[in-house]
Amino acid sequence: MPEPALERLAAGLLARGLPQDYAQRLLAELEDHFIDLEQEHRLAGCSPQAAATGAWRTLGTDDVILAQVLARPELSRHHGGWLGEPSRPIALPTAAYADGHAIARWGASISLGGVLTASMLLLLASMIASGV
Amino acid sequence: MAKSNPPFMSGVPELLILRLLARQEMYGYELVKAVRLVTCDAIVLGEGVIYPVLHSLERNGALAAKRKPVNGRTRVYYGLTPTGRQRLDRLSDEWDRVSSGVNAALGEPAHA
Repeated sequence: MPEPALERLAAGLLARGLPQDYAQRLLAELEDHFIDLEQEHRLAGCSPQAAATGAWRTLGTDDVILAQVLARPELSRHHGGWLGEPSRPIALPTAAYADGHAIARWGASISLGGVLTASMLLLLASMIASGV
Repeated sequence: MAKSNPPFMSGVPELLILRLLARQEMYGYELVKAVRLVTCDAIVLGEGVIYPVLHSLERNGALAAKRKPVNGRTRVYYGLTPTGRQRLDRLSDEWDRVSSGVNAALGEPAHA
């Protein structure tokens, strides 16, 4: 499971409503596990590249791990309470990756709403100032 | 994943995890290796899929997780809670009952 697979896993978790702190926790543990597996392969005499390939293969694919998470509804029901992970920038990039058009629409509507609100406030302020 | 376990193994990984963690706290990688060792490689857990199992047990109160710094890395160690011990006892009893039944059936002469 190379790096893009981890990103796919994170995106899949967030897109299906898993809490962000849970996604971070799972990814951190998988990465830690990968380091141990890679060391194991290197101790067995593998080249660095072969060790990394072997480690990802042993860890499993992102779709299998995602399916296992989704098979356990209790993991998505509970929000918060996971061991605090150091903040990592997976939230926005992966959320955007998961549904880029929705994020773009949301951003556009927020911007438009802000502009309209500011215009109305300015108009109101100028009316008050001019005594209308 | 080197091997896969057949569908009837459902529930067995949980039993083994609880049994091993009843002895001592472990982290994921250590736990996967321990399962292989104590079962003489008869049971091989998918290494990445052990985490959803651990997290589910943690969510259900059977396990408690805590971070420990080890050699410049931070690992998540899992330990059994009193709820987990009760669950282990219940699953062990269930396993004894099922395995006795299956053994009895396998030992019985086949009917014509």
